[in-house]
Amino acid sequence: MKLGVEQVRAMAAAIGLQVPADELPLVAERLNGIIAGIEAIEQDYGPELDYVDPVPSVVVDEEALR
Amino acid sequence: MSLNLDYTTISVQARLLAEGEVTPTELIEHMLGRIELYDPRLRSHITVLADRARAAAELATKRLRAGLRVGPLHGIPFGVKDQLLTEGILTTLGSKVMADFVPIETATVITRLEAAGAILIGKHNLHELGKGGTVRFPYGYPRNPWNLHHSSSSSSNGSGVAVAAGLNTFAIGEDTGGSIRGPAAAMNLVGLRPTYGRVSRHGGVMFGWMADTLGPMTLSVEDAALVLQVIAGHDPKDALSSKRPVPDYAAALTGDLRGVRVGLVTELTWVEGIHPAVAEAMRDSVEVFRELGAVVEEVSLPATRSTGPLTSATTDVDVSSVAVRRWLKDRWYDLDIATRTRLAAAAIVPGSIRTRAMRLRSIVRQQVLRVLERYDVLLSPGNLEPPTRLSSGDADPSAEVKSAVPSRHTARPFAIANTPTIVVPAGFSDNGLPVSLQLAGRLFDEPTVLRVAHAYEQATTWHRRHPDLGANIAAFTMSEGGDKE
Repeated sequence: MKLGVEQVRAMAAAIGLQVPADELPLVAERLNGIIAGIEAIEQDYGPELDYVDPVPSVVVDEEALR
Repeated sequence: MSLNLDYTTISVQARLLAEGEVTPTELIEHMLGRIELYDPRLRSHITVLADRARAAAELATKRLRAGLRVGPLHGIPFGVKDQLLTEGILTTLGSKVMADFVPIETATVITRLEAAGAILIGKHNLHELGKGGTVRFPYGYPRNPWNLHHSSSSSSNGSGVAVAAGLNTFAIGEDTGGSIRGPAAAMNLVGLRPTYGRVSRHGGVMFGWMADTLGPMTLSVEDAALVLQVIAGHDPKDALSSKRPVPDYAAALTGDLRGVRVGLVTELTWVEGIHPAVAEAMRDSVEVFRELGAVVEEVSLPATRSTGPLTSATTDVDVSSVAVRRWLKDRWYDLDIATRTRLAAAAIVPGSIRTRAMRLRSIVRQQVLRVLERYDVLLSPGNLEPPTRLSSGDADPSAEVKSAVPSRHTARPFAIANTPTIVVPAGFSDNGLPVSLQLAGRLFDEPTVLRVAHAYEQATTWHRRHPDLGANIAAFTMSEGGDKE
């Protein structure tokens, strides 16, 4: 799947972001690169990804967060 | 004073200060002189705190004469990436959008270093917002002192330049996906990314909250241990900082590697694109480790091949969640083209894709930590190639955006795993550019990482080489190569 410039413009508008027209292709290219990268990962790890928790690797001091 | 202080380490400077061979004032003047002489070309500093540093040095000198040494870093000059808040002092994040920002508080790491006697001499240039990939640097491009036409690497590059050029004795950098280790690798330095939680993030501008980590950039492993000793430990102002006791890092530098198990990561080392000088350095390092008594075996971490898009799909999204409201909506053109398009793309990454990327981060982390149950450290190159030549300043910015995203193939997995990871000088290419190796250890096992790195460093001589600044700057000035400023 590859997103076009108009689709990217609409996605940006959904968060109130107006990307100048001449830079939309670059934003689209970057976003498509991210999506393609994740799609490639799905090929190798798709089923495994369903069974692992998406936990950040930080050390939480729960008392300090209270 | 007739001593040559160029490229002296913390431990050497501390001894000279203790023996009265040099005063803090003389040391600061030495550094300020080098900054004045070289930094107009190198552009490592955004702010030089000459008056403040002189006043601190004068006080430190008086105290030493009175027999008072306030801490282990008494009189040692240092600088910080301009991503760290400093009360009453400009903090730019290397961006026009923060060009007038003067904070009302100071980062904990700076407070701790000053309490240990160190003297803040300046704030360093960096990739915009501390996140890498900048094409146009508002404060000039920080030049690699080994060859000013070549890259100084990722976002803590100004801090790397300052130390590699002998303008500061050490620096504090920040590493999200490799930004301490990249510049260290590119400029023949030691760069340590501590375990997440080991060092307080308070007062750093840490929008990549789950990966941003502060750590030392130094001329030696011993210096990294000395700095970490001061900055490590729980901080009530950082809820994610660990309450684990801080061990004695210098005591770990025994030089003894007998029985230590080193795993050489195949997927991060023997890969397409590895530069011959890096491959040679890795083969040589294996021999060095074995001669020192370590057991070296190759290990496989297959998930580390897939970390390329993970920063964009996770930590960049975190950064964009702040950047959209603050800057992208109203100050689009005040950000560098690489920054604004990167963060705009991150801001619209679908949530489901971000979560899939977070799940893969868990798999990468699990693989790394599982292998570390069998090995004390994991070995890989600091980077797969020496620092690359910069493109011309006249190049199309869009094309540069595509080429500027730094290759962090070897750095990223350990940022994702949040293991303590160090880069150490390991050789030079035929054209005189540094190459390095990287060692990652178990969570909070900085002592072992430092011990192994120190033993390797002491068995080799690469860290003793320093750039010929006068010749390199003259060569750059005389050439007609592109100036990225």
